[in-house]
Amino acid sequence: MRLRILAAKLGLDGHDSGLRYVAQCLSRAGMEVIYLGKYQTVSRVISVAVEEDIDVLALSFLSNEYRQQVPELMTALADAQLQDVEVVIGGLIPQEDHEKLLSSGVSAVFGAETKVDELVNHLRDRAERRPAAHKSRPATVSKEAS
Amino acid sequence: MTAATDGVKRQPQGLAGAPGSRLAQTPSGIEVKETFTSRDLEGWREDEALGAPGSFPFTRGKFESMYRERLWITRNLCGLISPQRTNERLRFLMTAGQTGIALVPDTPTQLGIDADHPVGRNGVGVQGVPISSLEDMRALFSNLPVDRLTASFSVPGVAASMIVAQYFALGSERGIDPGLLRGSVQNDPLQARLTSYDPHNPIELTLRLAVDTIVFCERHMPNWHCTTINAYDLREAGLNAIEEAAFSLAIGAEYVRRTLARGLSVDAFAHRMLIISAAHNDLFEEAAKFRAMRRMWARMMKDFGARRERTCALTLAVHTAGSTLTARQPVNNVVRATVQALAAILGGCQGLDLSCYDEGTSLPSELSAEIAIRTQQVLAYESGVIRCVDPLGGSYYLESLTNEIECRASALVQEIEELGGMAATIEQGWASEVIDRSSFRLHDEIASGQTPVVGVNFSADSSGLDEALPVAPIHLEPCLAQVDAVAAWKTARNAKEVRMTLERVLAAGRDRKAELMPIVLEATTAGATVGEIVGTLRRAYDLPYDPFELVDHPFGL
Repeated sequence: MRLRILAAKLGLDGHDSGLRYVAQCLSRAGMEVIYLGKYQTVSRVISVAVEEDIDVLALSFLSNEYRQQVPELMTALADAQLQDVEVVIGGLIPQEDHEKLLSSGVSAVFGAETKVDELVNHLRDRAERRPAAHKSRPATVSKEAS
Repeated sequence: MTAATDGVKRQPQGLAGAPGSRLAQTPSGIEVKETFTSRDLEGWREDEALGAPGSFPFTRGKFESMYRERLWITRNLCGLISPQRTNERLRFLMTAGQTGIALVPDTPTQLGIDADHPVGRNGVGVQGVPISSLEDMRALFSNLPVDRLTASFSVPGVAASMIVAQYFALGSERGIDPGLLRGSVQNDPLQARLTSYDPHNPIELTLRLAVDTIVFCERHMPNWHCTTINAYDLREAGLNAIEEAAFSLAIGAEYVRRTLARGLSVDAFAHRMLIISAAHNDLFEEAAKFRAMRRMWARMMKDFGARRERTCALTLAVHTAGSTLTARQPVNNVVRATVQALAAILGGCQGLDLSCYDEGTSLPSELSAEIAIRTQQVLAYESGVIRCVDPLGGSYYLESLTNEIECRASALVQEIEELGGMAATIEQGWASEVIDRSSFRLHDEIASGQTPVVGVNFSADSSGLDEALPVAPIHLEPCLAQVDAVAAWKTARNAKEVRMTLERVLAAGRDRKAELMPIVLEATTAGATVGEIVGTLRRAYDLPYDPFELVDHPFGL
């Protein structure tokens, strides 16, 4: 199956060149990427996740906002019955917080200087285990406000 | 060379031993031959291309005697936790040898929302200093002589005008002649829209505020730099050196055009515009870039009708490249910053600000900030590099590079102008595509090892370099005391007066011909916050008060 990924930054951290590059790599690897960009709220991410019927939510944090945002997000995903969505997080996440995020239901955490291939392999591996439900869909789209 | 093969990749052995590498090209793609000779400068005329230092076209430097008479200003970008804590850090930096102040407000402030905003509160003081109101500005400069220092505010976006208004109001209440207020604000909404702090406020509004701020400074703050084109962030987002030069010049052209349309002559304000540029690792390309930017700026100002020489003399502030810093072996970052700073000095900068060794992952600690200042001092006072003005001038290689950068960057400026100017290329998405293309290419080259990064894609194994210098905790917690302080400020001030001045902000905003700055200043002095003024202006453009649509206007406007 072809994974459908929503890439976003939650909260106020404005550094997005890393996430833009990751989105580009995932798209080159044959995945469908919806790029939502920065300054997003949990409720907006959830509504786009529903609308676009995504498989994976890829988030990037360079500030500590994941500490407030991720627990809120996981609850909101459950409330919206989106428990099947895989949440992967990258950026500056200190090692001591990885376990906390993983136990809250995040599928993987990738720190600074992780090779993008590791993320691609992780997602491919997950994709193989998922039921093939999705048919053909439009190519990569950008949902950044302009 | 066994040591070199210990890492994850073999160390490139010169050009021949590094297949596929771009070592025979500069990072922006200029072919570099083995040797350059006088033949590479055929047709080149020293009087036209260089002139004397301090004279048109200022290739050799802004001033005749450069650092022999006037050293660059040593700064360290600073902003953390709260106005009070940032004030302490500023005083530490001044004691450590800093000669100018460089402040970066936190993200909520940059976006034009207050510390007590439901989304904003998570980011208070985390990536800069929170400045919601005049009260915060007072605390930030407590016990600092604003008439005797130079303060630079890294605020490109919509909040720039409010920060200028606060600083001006602070000077007024201390009884200081506004002519003594020295420093700069970025006030560069095009860059903000393109790569950083702009939650999609209409470009029409942000450009209007920017030009109003330029006009206000021309009238009331004659020694203040009203615009600092933020080439640095454009470069950090992925542009190469040539593109950085082109984009920043094209942005400058957009502001100059719009200010001329307000009836000012270019000689009245353009000497108070400056560029903050990035110094990356490629020593000669970077030094050449700074020289080329000065020459291009001088020629552009002449085309805009400049009659005074000083209008044509570009002031360049330089910040070493945070994006080149690595989380692994952070001690190597001290060396990177040194090389980059050397490029800035050889290129003739007026202000210099080094990224600290721990900034691959953190905000700088006092220790890392002090090392950054010491690095500048070693370069200034021990290396002898300041002895001779433009020491690389006349080098076949450097002059060829300077010519090539100017030639390619000018072609790109031309392309932007043909597309309708920088604002148009941003709105069309073209500018952002250029950034993505260059950024992806750079990241691909690092991932493949084509662009070597010491300690990352080769020589990554080390017996102790990862721990050689301490790295402070990666994340600061949001400063909730500041959230409470701002909320308390809002209840303590004279609400009636704030409401009245905000009504005037709304009316001025709706009248598309009104000047905004005098009224922004009035509201600021009355105690209105950055978030309230920005939100009220958004209302004047028929947008929700809050870009996140979580908060309503406090006075129902």
